[in-house]
Amino acid sequence: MKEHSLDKSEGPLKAQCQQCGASGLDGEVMPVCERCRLAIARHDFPTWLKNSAFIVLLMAIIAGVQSPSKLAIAIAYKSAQNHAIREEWEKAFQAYQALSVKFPGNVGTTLSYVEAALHSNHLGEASDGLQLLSHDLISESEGARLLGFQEDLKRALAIQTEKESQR
Amino acid sequence: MLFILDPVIAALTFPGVIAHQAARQLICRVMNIPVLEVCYFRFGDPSGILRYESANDAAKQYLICVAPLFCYTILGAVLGFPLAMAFAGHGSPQFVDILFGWLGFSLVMHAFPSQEEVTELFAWVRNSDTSLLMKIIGWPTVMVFKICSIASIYCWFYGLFAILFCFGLSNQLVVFLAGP
Repeated sequence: MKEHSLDKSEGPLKAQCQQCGASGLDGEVMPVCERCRLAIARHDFPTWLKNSAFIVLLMAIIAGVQSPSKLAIAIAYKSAQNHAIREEWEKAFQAYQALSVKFPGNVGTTLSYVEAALHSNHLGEASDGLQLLSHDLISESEGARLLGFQEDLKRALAIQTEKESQR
Repeated sequence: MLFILDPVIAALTFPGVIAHQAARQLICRVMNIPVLEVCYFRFGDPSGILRYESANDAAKQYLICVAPLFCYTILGAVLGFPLAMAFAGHGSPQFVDILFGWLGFSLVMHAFPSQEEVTELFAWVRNSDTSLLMKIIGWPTVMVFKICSIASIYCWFYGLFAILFCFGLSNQLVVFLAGP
């Protein structure tokens, strides 16, 4: 990581170029003529380095091209999260519904979608979401959330059935 | 402790070490400064070596110190963007996002000039022959680099800087654009 520029005391200045023996030094630190200086300065980069630089630039272009869509998705997620935090469940449900269509296999998104659906009284959608999740491999904390939502859904469905029977 | 970890961190972020040497070699080439020795990467301290003839004016030395930092910070922010967006959004990044993020982080982490380069720039800005403009630009730059160098000893500053520029700022952009 550290570099060392040539110390001025390292080599005594001589009248002749130390590379090719020519006279007419330009007064620089290294005792070489201008032609040799340019030749040393233009020392070529190794091929693997050029190829690596090309790959890195290609990766940067790919990342740059992907950026607008990734930014839009991230903003949509953040916006949905904000609605959920503020307990604006209908807005959160709509936002998560759009995202769960885009990312059907994402457990976190589907769980948030189910939560928003439960709170906004979209019980059918919540049930569909839970069915999608039950077959997936999920973590312990996600499993706990899932169980909680299943209980909530059962309770909400029971209340709904009771109300309908009273009518 | 961080000193002991330095070679390990350098090995884990080897693209940055290679890019660090390559960028300075490129600048030396553009400015016709002969490069005497290049070692892009090795296991040990220092993990990369670039020996070049002393720059013959302050502006060249300034460029050697600042240009790679500027370019790699932008490049690192671009490469780190997909990973930052994944964490800001659904929280499950793809392998490609992690690869890009690691590369971006590595580039930014090693983009800072070395102690020797800053010392040389310091000598130039103190030189009476250096123009007033270069002194005005050079002094605060040297001070910032010196402070960053000290901070890196105590709090792994270069790593934190890389995290901030690769992931932190874009994450905050999402927070800002998503609204309250």
